[in-house]
Amino acid sequence: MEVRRWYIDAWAVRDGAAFASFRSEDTIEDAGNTVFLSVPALEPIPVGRISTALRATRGCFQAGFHDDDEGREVAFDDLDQVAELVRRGYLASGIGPGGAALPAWLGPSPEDDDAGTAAAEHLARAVREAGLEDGGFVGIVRGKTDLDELVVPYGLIGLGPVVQAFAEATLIAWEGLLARGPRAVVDERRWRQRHQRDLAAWYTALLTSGVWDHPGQTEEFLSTQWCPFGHALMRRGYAFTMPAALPRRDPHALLSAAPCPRWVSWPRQLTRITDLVLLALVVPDHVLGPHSALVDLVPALLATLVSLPDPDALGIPELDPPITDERRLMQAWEHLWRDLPLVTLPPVAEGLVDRYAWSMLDGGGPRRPSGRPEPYGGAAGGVRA
Amino acid sequence: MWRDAGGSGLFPDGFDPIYFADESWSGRVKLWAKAEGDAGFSGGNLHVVRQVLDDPDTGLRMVVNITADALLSMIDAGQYYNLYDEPVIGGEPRKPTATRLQVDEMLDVGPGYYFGAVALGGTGVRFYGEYCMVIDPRHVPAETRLFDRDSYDLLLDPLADPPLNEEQLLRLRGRWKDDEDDVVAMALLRVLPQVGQGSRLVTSGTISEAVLKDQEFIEVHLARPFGHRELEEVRESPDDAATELTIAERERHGLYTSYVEREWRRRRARVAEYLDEHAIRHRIVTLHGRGYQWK
Repeated sequence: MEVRRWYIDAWAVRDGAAFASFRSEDTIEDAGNTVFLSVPALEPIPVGRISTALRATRGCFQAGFHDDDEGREVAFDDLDQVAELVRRGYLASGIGPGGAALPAWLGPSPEDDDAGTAAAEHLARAVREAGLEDGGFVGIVRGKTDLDELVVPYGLIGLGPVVQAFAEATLIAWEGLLARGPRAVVDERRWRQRHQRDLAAWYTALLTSGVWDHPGQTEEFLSTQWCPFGHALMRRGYAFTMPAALPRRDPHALLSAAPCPRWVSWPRQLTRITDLVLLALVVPDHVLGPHSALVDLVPALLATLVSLPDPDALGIPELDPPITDERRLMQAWEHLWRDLPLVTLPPVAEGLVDRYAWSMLDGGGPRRPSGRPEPYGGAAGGVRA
Repeated sequence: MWRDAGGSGLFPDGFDPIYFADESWSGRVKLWAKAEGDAGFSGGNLHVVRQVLDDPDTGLRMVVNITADALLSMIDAGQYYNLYDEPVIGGEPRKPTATRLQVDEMLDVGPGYYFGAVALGGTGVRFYGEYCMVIDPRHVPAETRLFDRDSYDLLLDPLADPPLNEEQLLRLRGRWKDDEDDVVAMALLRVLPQVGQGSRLVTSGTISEAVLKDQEFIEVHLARPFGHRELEEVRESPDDAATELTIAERERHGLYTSYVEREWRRRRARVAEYLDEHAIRHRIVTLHGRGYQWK
């Protein structure tokens, strides 16, 4: 007798939606419960009949979820695992140059030019000063307790200045990118307008989230680094003590536009901050593995700090605690760990999702819907249902 | 409850004798009217429902639900495609399963067909995507094929075993409009049994809900491609808009929101921006295309 487990019937990977049924492998005849899960809630909703799930493959859902070697369906123990799979697939689809719903006007990645080098050196200096160059984790991380033991006593506070330097390095890289101009053939005026709009908003996001302790620290940064756009903002009377006067945009959306400075052990293909953040939230080994380092958590910490405002903040940099403050870092950490990939998937699924994430970083995505309106013929030589 | 059914015996016992009668859809509507009586509220409702369904400006439409990323891809490509070329994650199945071949063969559909649902307002079948594309009715030819339910229901009992023969299948199929029949007759037969028959006249919201209820719908098989230029509008459910606002409020108060929630908001904002850039009408609606404040 076949053993019934949870299997994916249909999955819109890039959109975080899937149907799953409790059934035997490769059959629909003994399907018990069929559920639908989708972002953002990822709560299973019973749909009553498996035909609803199968019909989804007439649209933008892939049919099932199979291993690469034998084409067997991947089985799941429970719906928590299915939800985690859908979550990771959705997040992974945001990685790299083909990431989902990216603004079309995004510029190239930071280059090994003067600004790119300056940004990398700025970050490297802070890492050295914090003594985190060899801050590798030792041991296997299985849950929040392990994480707390590794992260909190040894380095969370020490990470404050590195988070600050990482934020500053993004500005240096972005200033360089803006000065260099677009590489591809685009409407340069529009390209420049969009970058200026978002860089100004990024300055605002960093100011309001407390990257600098006081205006003097901001001025010091701007005077020691090549940041002509930041200087222009100051000259135009946007007092850095009144960041509310600067243009605002959703800080989370800005993470998809902000270039990512390089760090020696980070992949060369990185283009934007989200690439690193999403790798941390999708690939367990990237931040939780034996070769991970505390520095690998820095982009995700900054993303959390700028996206989730301090509920007690007054919006006045001199009075609000900076991001280097212990309470702010702990608050960010308490939010961040909940997004890390701590639910274990079946090994086959872990491998396939990891590979997908790295392929996205390499520009492997997006897979567009087929040029054929119906699934006849094609590379696989047959129909998938 | 049907009375005086007068069925032909084409379908086995237990199948509604009027709905499954060996008649055209219009013929079956007449059978229903005869059984229910065409005086009083029953006759009045038949008139009201027909009028609402048949109105060229606000009547029945073909809708296709689509996910955010697929919608952006469609706008980029200028054309809607049905299926991913290959799995995004994971490999191919060991062998092609027979289910889809079986369904498509029974319905005689193949390359070049695009699948949608018949709707009167509303936001389609949410499971298939949070964005509901309404196809411009001028792009849906009269000969467009219809099937009275989700075609994959053919795989499930009581339709699967024994499988329906050609004659039975023909009775579940229809055309958007031909000499004898139209989509309105098909929808009438779905709606009329669900509305109050003897005590009151129905309104368009009730009719809208009966035409496409949850994931029960009349399936459309459009035999011509379409892209964003052939859309009348894109609709969204107020539930998604409310979820989006709730997440934004939690963020504003410094409460925990997951990265997935924030990312979902970002991608939705991108879709809204894209639809605006391409001048595609984009609305939040409830039943019968009403703005949600009119529910």
